[in-house]
Amino acid sequence: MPDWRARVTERLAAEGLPPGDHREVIEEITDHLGLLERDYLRAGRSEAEAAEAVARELERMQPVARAMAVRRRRRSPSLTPAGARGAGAMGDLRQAVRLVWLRPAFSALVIGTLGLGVGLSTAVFSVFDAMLLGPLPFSEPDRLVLLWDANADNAANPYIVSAPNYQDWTREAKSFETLALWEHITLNVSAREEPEQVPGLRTTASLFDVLRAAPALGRVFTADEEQDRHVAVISDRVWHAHFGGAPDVVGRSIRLNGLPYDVVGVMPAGFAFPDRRTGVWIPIALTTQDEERGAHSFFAAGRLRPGVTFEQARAEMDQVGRSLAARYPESSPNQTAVATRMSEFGLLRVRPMLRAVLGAALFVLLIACVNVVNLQLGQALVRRREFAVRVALGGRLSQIARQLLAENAVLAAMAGLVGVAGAWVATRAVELIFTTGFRELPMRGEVAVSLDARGAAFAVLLSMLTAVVVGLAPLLLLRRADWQAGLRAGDRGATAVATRARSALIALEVALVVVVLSAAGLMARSLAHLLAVEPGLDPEGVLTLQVSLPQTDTYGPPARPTFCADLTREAGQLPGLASVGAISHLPFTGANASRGISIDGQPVPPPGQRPSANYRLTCPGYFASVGIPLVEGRDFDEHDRREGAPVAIVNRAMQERYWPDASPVGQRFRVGGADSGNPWMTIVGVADNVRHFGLDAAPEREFYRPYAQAAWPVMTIVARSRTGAAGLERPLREALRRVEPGLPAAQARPLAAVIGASLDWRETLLRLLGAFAVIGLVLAGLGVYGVLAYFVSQRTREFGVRLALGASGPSLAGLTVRQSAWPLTLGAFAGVALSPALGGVMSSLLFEVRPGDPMVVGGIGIAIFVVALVAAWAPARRAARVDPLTALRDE
Amino acid sequence: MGDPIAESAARKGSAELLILSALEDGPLHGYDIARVIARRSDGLLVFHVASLYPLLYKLEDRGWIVGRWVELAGQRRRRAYRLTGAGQRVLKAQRNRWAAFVTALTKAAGLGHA
Repeated sequence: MPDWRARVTERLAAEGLPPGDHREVIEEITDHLGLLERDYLRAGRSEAEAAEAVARELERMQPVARAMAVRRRRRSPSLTPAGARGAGAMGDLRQAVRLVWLRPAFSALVIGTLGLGVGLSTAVFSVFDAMLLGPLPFSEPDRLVLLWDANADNAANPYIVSAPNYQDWTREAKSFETLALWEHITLNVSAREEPEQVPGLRTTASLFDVLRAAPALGRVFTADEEQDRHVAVISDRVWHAHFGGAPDVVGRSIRLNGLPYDVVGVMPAGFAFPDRRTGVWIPIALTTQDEERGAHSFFAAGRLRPGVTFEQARAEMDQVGRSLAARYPESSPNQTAVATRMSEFGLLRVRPMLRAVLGAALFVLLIACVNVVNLQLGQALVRRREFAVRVALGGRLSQIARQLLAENAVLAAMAGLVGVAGAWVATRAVELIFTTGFRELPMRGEVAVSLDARGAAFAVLLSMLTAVVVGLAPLLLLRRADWQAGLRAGDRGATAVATRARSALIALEVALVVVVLSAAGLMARSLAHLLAVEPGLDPEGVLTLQVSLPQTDTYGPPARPTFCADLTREAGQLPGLASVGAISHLPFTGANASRGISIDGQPVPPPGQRPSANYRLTCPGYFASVGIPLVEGRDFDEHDRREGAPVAIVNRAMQERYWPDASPVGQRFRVGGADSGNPWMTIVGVADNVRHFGLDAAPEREFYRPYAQAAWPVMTIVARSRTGAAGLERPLREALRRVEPGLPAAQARPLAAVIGASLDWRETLLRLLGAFAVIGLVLAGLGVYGVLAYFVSQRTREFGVRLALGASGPSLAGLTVRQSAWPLTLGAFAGVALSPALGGVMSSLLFEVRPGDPMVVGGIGIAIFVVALVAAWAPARRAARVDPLTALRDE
Repeated sequence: MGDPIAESAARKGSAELLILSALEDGPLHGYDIARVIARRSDGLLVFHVASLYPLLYKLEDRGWIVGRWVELAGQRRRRAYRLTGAGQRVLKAQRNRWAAFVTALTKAAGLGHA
């Protein structure tokens, strides 16, 4: 008797089926042959005859082999048994898990795609959540507000407060438990260690009540100490840096701007008010200058009384502010007072930026979803017959829907896990992507970004939504009639419907990716425009070095009138140095001061229209050092001394506003009102404009005074080198030590880096949007590829026939490419049409570019075209190389 | 061996009906399915390995039948197929369709007079 098992194994192997994978089939067929042989023998045939008859059965094993190959490839077991076993949700789930397991490649693709989308979105949400939604680190933070003076016609842009207004508020506003007032100052701190520049506050004692902040050591100062006691509360960092963290620090002395203060308390390490760098809080000690109602130089905050809403407080402040304006028409014309939530402060730029990034991440997720819907649709076509039978047998679509949902729930749950893991990694990477400067927010310090419970909940929610969307889309796209069509042998009809649906999905996907590309493109264009802006100075080879001088009064005469002369003497001769100077408010750092002025010989305008300009103090040589050209007149020089005639230089913007018709050189103006008694200053020169507030901000009116005649506590030395800024730092610091030993100097920075830092956030945003755009583009490319590959595989037979009838390979490749041309074009146009909506979200982030910018649209067109070509390449090649014989035999 | 009828029946889809009805009375293994069909058709419809097993696997994939390995005492283990609930419903539906078709064919092609 022949060994039928060996024969069967051999025949199947000859058809390309490895025996290891089909033991059960081999066993079953061997059994069949054995029974057949037995029956032949029983029927009276000879052994040889029986063996020959049985062997004939083995001649045509190809159908078996093919059936097995199909079965193996599809591994798409029926849904019906599970349904028939009548298992509700649990049965659906079991079946779904089995399906996921049985289609590893498909499942991995779905899980990977959705996981990518969910992970990115969750990571961005975590940043968003931490920076924008997280509560302020103070007790009952919802009750904290900031208070501002404002022009009644422009209350949306309030400004800082004058002390008299604040004092009236404390008397008249009933909404608040406590109010506080403070001013930002820079202090020279020295105790035991090297002196250091530290940002600090002079503040009312009530600030600590408003914040409900308690010191870690000692006490805070009291209202009684506000006016004339030299006491200080220091930060944890200053405590460690200057007292080595000594526990007996309370009661010890610290020198602030050269004056001794008693340390009364140390704030806890996390306390960052108003920001992380603030190291010293001293009593406010209001001066007579501060008591001017027109002198706006303070910040104010308040804590709402329990039960008072923010809206009530805002309304009351408006009313109080208007009544003050009515009482003091001279100094506060048309004024009002505005309350804003403290939690909103400092988010003006971050908010639209993070919104744009979160939007881009969600769009990438949507694109990922569309890809998965496309995959599901392909699977639905494969399983159409099965579904069709169920519908034909009276099965309800809702049952199929439930099953599909269960499958997708399992897939989405796994995608969610992948997403959470990805988001965790991504939030770690946030430390690298978002510079410390970016993550640092007022009143919050450096925001730590981590994946917390809210982030995880967001991921879960997103995954569930995704499961519903991608699970049900195939059902919505293939109607009941299509399922029934599936039962009848002709399946081209349903295929056509599905092909249309998939084309529509491609269009949608392209539209989405165009929107993300637009966002990235607009940011890129903004940055390019900004880099092309003339800053108004020449930063090449210029080093900047900030120093603190022993000066507290920002109105009175300089305490150290020879600073500029000393600087020129000690640093002016350094080898390689072209020129040296100094300024109180370096451009591009955001530093600023402004003064109201009155102009000699011009009528005094009504209140509210009094002339004013930004205020700078310089050392001779500043303009040459930073490369601001003098349009007219001269720079200050060593003759402009404290006891000499007061002089000033105005910028072009100021000249154009106040002396539009004639040269201002020789004209006079003074700080303050016409009757202020301040000395008249004679204009000796006109400097060109500089973009002080950033490349994206128009130059403002500015005037400069020589440091010898009016001082400022912090000066930035600017030194232009002939050989490059880097080598200049050491000799400059040494020269400074010769000017005055122990003068604290901050980190030296090239001026180019200062300007670059002002663009930092745009670069960060561009990098993020760019990355999302690339991911979206790749996903969209995969989507196009998937649809075209399916298109070609479905029509292999048709292509074979066409080739046999004389069609050329390239024409079939063209047909394939054309298949994708319409949805791509449609999607691209829809995306371009949609992208103006971005303008609303991104308008404050853009610079001299608007959605619909021809360069951006053109760039997107090219990107889509290239990606589409790449995606269509492989399927088109396959279409062109169909072998007619194989194609026809295959069916 | 002449079995053109079974082969072409497989193409036309009636083979499915044959297999499902063979299983209507209870589980059978592959060889017995072929035998039952041959016996009921007086030897006219004969399934070969090459036509039978691909069909069985297809029907199983669709969930109309389920194959289970059973071991009977003293015998080698065999794979027996049984009809599922869905299979029973499909059988009923196909029977009705085929009955209608045969009636129509009989009238239209004049088979009744042959």
